This record gives sequence, structure tokens and C-alpha cells, in this order.
Amino acid sequence: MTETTQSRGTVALFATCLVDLFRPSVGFASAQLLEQAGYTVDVPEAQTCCGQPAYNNGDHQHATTIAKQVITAFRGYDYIVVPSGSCGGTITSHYPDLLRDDPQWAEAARELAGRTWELTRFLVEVAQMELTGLQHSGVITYHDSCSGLREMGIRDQPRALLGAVEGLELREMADTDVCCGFGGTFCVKYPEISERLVSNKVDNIEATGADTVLAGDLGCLFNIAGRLKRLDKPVRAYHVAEVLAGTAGRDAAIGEGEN
Amino acid sequence: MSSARDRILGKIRSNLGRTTAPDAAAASSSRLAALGDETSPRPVWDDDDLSRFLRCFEAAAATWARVDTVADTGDAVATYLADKPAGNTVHLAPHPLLDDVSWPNTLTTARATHGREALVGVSVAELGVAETGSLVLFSGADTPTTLNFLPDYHIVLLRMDAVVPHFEDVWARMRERGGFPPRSFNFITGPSRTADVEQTLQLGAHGPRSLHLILVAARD
Amino acid sequence: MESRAHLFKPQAREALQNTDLQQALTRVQEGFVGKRKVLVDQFPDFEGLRDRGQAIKDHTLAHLDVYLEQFEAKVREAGGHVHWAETQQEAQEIIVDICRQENARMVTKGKTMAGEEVQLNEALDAAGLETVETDLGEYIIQLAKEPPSHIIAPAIHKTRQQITELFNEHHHHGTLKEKLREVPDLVDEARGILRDKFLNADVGITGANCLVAETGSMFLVTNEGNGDLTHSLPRVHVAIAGIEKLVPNLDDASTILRLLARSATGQEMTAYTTMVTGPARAEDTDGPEAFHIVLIDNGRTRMLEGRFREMLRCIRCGACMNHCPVYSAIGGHAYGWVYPGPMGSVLTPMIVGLDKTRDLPNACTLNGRCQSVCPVRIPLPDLLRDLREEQHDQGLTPKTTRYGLNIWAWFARRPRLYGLAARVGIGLLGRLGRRRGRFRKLPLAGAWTAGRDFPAPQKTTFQAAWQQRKKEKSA
Ligand code: SF4
Repeated sequence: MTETTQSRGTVALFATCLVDLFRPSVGFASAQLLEQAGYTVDVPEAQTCCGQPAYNNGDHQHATTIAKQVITAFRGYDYIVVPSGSCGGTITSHYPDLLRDDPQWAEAARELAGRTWELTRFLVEVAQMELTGLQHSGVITYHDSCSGLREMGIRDQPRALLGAVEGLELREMADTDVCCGFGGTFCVKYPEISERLVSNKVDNIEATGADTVLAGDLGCLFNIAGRLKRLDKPVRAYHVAEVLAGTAGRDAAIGEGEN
Repeated sequence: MSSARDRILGKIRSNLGRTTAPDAAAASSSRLAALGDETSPRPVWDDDDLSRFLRCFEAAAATWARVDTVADTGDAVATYLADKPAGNTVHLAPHPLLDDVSWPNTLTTARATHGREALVGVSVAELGVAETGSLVLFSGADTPTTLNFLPDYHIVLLRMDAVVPHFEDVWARMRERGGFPPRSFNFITGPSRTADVEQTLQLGAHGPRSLHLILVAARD
Repeated sequence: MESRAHLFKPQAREALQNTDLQQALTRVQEGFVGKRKVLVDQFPDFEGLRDRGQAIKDHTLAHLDVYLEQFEAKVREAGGHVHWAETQQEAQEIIVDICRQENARMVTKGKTMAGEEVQLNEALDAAGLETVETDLGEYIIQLAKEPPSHIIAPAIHKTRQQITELFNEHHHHGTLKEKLREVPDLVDEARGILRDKFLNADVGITGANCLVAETGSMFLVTNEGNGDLTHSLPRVHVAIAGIEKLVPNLDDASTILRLLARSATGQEMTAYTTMVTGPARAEDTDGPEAFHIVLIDNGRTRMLEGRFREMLRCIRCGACMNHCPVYSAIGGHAYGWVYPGPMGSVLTPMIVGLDKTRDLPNACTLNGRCQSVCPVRIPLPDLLRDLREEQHDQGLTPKTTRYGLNIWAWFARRPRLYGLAARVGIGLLGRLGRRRGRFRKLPLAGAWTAGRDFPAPQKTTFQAAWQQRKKEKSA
């Protein structure tokens, strides 16, 4: 941790399990943006997953254990920032619900929820970040992830940030607010239905003529990229943080090789 | 054995965790607490109620004509029917207002206590509702319900000053009449329609194929 | 109808492959979603209207016994009869008895989801009555001997070609050569046939969109006018409604009406919105001599207890299914019972039983679009999640899911081991997939890779790389 006198506070980055396992570049891009905005960034080592798979599958016992673990790991930070509306939503809406009747933890859950932010919303509403000197040429389209949109109110923030990127054109797709079919374990429990939904999504992406699709949730992005690649579509998929941090050009897009 | 009624009410009470006897006064005071004195949010418009009424009425694929007095209705009906395969018999609701109409001799009129024989039906609306462009017809001695639904051509008289802004004004008017609401209280907003075949809108599903309003300007 | 909800998976698969159905389903989006949005945007305070709708329903449910008794007393005063049915069987018996007492031969029916729920048609058929559905959509599926696939547009799954065929078979003994008739032509033919039924029916059965305690009235909301012909022409009108349809007074009904038409069909008002109170009065020149209303429990009182009470706010508008991506992909029949889509995935397990409907609460991505349009703010995703919890607690979750979750949770609770295992596994997977950037097949990931590639991970885990960076920085 590099403490500087100008630090606006310490942000604990909740990387999410998907970023941790599959796409560290999103974690680094997020950290870079937060540091650029003047915050000190820490990544608590005791983080694994937010517990959503258990919670959404009705396994509240495991979900509760993990929620408590996360609450403990993230004590004392000024902010918790999550590069995912879905995991963010689990912390802000579902932990308080899950621990509502636990006198020891209810307050702690609400308190954590109050400090927790989705990345783009944090950058716009708390950090009031003005991005300058960013270049990214091409046409992009943006997929609104369901939890981000409906649980965390993420819609305009990523678009506002992208608006500051020079050379970038944003073309909205039809039904940008409709689910891509990922749905956590849904995509493997009901693969055929999931495939239909992601195919619709891919059709809408293609129809815009964009060369890149962005989103704020790695789950959706893996699903969308996986389908794009299966169909041999040239459209690239990146997490929005990677474009905003200017690292999208350096790292291969999701599901693309290193050449 | 207890009746289904008692069993259902019993289950409601136990599942609501009710320990005391049901109490209408408690219900209405908790209603005030939950809903306050405020009323439902409702549509608003910039122009007058009649304009809003007619705009919505037209949007529902209905047509209208304006006459100065009730007496002029006859000619207006004849004009409306002139280019339609509707025959020349009109069935009139037994409404006193229709006694004042002078009918042109191109039309034959018949009094109807129901709509079973009517191809063209003429009835009188009690009110118009501006928020939705709906006509309001109360069933009764002068307004047979089936005359509103069986004819192919439904023609309705409405006095211009009988247009009220919102549903709530309709209830207020109805409560003024006292007693129970009429057996059948119809809001009619355009002709009958269906979209059950491939979501394609088709007028004249079971009820009238067309709805025409004669708006009477003056009180006479 | 008997529930086929336990066959959700094969039914969904079949639906995805049914090209006629897929073509028909695109129209749900076109027909309902856009129109609703225009009107909602126009309304000055639609969110406030939803709040009020929710508050009215919550209040009514909290005092349901009081308002039901009030309603009953008013109906009686107006000369009507009130019947109470705890179960499907009781509902059937009450209505069949009324028909018998009236020596009825023919019964016309307006669309009633409560009637579908208690299998009313089957009971009327068994009693030897000629029963005719009069809502055009219901009529079409009655000819096809199918259940509705949507609560507002029951025949939305049918193409024009299929309807042409059905009419040919039932109206023309298969003599027509045409394979595809125009919409006006089809509608007109049904109009002619059903007109005759309306005029000759002895009993008319309708549902009710809303009951009003203040006056003992019921609302009937239709576009075709079939509901009005059904209740006003026969000697006897029988209405059937769930006990949750009640609101305290007429002003509350205004709120429900404003929400219902906009949410259901994207209209400010349907062509015909009718309030019915009791039978015809002495001075009336037409209308039925007798009015009966059958109030249905069928599992609803059970829902009053606890969290699922929220589901009883439902006004059956269908907006949740219109906005559901899963419903849009598979249509209503895959859900296997009368209520499809999000509301059905909550209601069906509550009424039919959780053990017979295992897939329903799970076949949802929890995307929340349904909740965001529900006029009475039912938290459908939360309720589905609650049902999953009940399934989990009752041991109804599939073994594979439970084992998977246990292994995952074991690691998730042990950050150090998790980090280690992740680094090793990801390192391997990363090396294997680096060049191509994705896998077409992976062990244990068959469900994913059936239709998607699996993106390969980057070289190492974020935690490992971050700790590395930290070391380098402090060095
Ligand atoms: S759950 Fe809500 S959106 Fe769905 S039918 Fe009921 S009221 Fe309408």
C-alpha cells in the first residue's frame, strides 16, 4: 500500500471470484482507475466469493457464513468497490436481507452495504472522476447487466465515463436491458434456454455493427464472449474498466488468444 | 361440519395472526394510516376536459359529430349511416331524451328494450370521462345493457357538459344517486376489438364494429 | 388442467425447437412491451401509482376477512348470491349445481383464470353441459384442446395458419381449401358462430378483474365485449374470483384500473370496462335474473402467512411474462400449468406443490425485469429465491447442485486454500488455453460448452498477481 498525503481515502477492492480466477486485468484496471482518482487501493487477502451461488440456490446457510466472512474481511475501509453489479448487489441488497434477523450481524451487514459501490458508479458519483486524454478508436456497444441495472442503478455512469474517451462511438443495441442468459448457475442448469437468450443478445450486438461489446460484469461478458466465439464472430468483449483504464488494447479480449 | 365460508374466514384469521375479532373500524383507520387522505395519481392534461376526452375517444378508433340540440340528432345519425350497410332501421333505447329527436323520414325507428334485433342501436350516455375518453352508461329502465353490445353500429348521445375529468368524479356522481350502483355500469372506450389472432388488431370482435358519438352542445 | 410442471425441461426443449411457436413469441414483445412503455412514460407519476396499488393491496390483504364479509353483505343486499369454495372440487360442485338447478343446457364463458385453475370446463363437460369459451383466444384454444399459454392472450402461441386449420376443421368439416385466411375473415367467422351461442346460453360464467367491498361490485375488463355479452344475455350470471381480487372501495378500484390496462395491454382503458352489481333490477329491461359469485381459496389463505402474501397482490396483468426473457424464449406451455412466466413460477408451486414443480423456481436468471414492471411491485425474484430456499431446506434440490455447492463453499470459506488451488488450477488452464484464448470443450463444463466457448483465464489469479505487485512496489 502506498500511502500518500493526498489520498482521498482507502478503497478495498472486492475483485470478485471471476476476476480473480479468469481476468486479473479487470482487477488491475479497476485499481488503476481508483488510484488515478486519488484513492489508496487495498485488496484484502481474505476475499474469495461474495456467496451469491449459494444465496441464489437457496443455500442460505453457506451464504450466511460467507457473508460474515466478507463483512469481517472488509471492516474499516472507507469504501468497498466492486467491478461487478452482480456481486455488488449481493453485498448491498442481499447481505442485509440475509442477516436481517441476526442481532449480531444485521447492523454490520447494513453498514457494509452503505460503504459498498459498483466501480463505475463510484467513479462518477463519489470520485466525480473526469477522465482525460483517453483514446480508443472504434464502435462499441454496452450491455446493461441485470443486477447492475436493477439492483445498483447502473446505467448512465459507464456511459458518462465512456463519453470522455476520444475516438470511441457508442451505439446502443436493441434490448440492452434484457438479460443475456447468464444468470449464475442458471446457464448450466438450463443450458438450452440460456443459449437462446445469449443468441438473442449476440444478434442485437451484431446488428449495431459495433466491433466491441462492453459490460460491467464478467459473468455476462464470459457468456456473451463465449457465444460470440462459438459463432466465430469478430466482435470483441471487454470489461468496461479495461477500456477506461486504457488497457484494453494491451490485453487480449475475453476468449481471444495472445497473438 | 363448518361451512366453507367459515373455514376460509377462519384460515384467513389464523394466517393473519389475528387474535381479536375482525373490526371494520380498525380496518378503516389502518387504511388511513397506510394510504392517507391522498388520492390515486392520475393522468393530467393541459387543455380542457372536453378536448382531452375527444382526443382519447378518437385514439380508441371511435368517431363523433357535434350537434347543437338533441332535436338535430336525427339528421346526424342519418348522415353517419348514409355510407354504411346498416339498413335504415335504428333501435332506440327507451330514454326520454330521445323523445326530443326529430327523425328524418329516411330512417325508421323502433324502441328497443334489448339489443337482440338491433343492427343499429342508439343509447344515451350518462357521463364521459376525460382521462380515458370513455363513455359511461348506467343500465336501467331507459338504458338496456345489451343494446350497447349487440348492434354492429352503436351510436351514443352525450351532453357536452356531462364530461367529467376522472374516474373518481364518476364514482362521486354515482354516489349522489344514492343506493346501489346500477346492475351494469359500462365504461365504453371505442368499438369492440381483439388482437387474439397473431396480435393483429381487429375491430368488431363480438361487440359493435363501430362506435359513434353524437355530442350535444346545448342543454334544452 | 392437471399440472405438467414436472416436465418443464422436456417441454422447454420442445418449445425452443418449435418454429411456429418461436415465430408467435416474437409478437409478445412487439405487441405488449412497447405499448406499455409509451403509456407508462406518459403517465405523470406511474411510480406513485404503483406505490398506491401496492399499498391498497397490502392493506386489503391485512384485513381480508373484514372486507370479504363486507363484500358478501353488499352482494346479498343487491340480490346476489355469494358462494365460498375452499378447493377446486368445491368450486366445480357449486357451479355445476347452479347450472343443474337452472336446467341449463348451454353455458357461455368469458375468460377466467380462476376457472382454468379449478378446471371448470372439465367439470362442466363431465356434467353434460355444452360449454363455449367466448373470448376469441380462449375459443381458439378450446377448439385446439389446449390450455392457455398467456394469462392475457391465451392463444398467443397460435399462428394464423394453425387457426385457419382449426376453423376449417371445426366450422367447415375440413372442406375449405385455403391454408391461410386473413385476420378479419377469421375474426368475423368466429363472431358469427359465437353470436348464436351468446343469444342461446342459459348461464354465463365470467371471471372478475377486481371486487369492490364498498358496493359488492365486480369489474370485468375486456376488449372484445364477450364478457358483457356473457353476463348480460343469459338468465343467470355466475362469476368466479380468487379472494385476493378484493379492494375496499371504488376509488381504490380506480387505481387498479389505471394500473391494469396500461400494464396488461398497453391501453389507457380497454374497450369495455364494466362494473356489475347483483342481478338485473326490477326496472331493468334486460340483464340476468340471478347473480352468483364464487369466491375461491384454493391455497390462497395459506399464502397469507409469511412472505408469500406479497404474491396475493397480483392483479393478473401479465406484464411480468411479457418482460421475461425466459417466457419469451419458451412460451407459456412449457411451465406446465395455467399460470406461466414469473408469476406462475411463484404461484404454481404454492398451489400445486413445491415437490411437483421443482424446476419452476429455478428456471429464472433472477434478472429482475419482471419486478421492475409489476404494477403492484411484487418482488418476484426474491420470492423465487425464497422458494429455492424452501426446496433446499426440504431436500428437493438436485444432488449435483448440492454437491457442487458444498465443494465450492468449502473452498470459499478457506481463502488460503482457495487461493492456492485457484493459482494451481488457473495456471494450468491458462497455459492450455493461452494460444487460442478459449476452449471448445472442457471436462465438467459440458452444459456451458454445448453452445458457448469457454474463455481461457489469463496467466495467474488476480490475488497472486496483486501480491506480487505489492512485493515489487515495496522492494
Ligand atoms: S405478478 Fe405483477 S406483473 Fe405479473 S401478472 Fe401479477 S401483477 Fe402483473
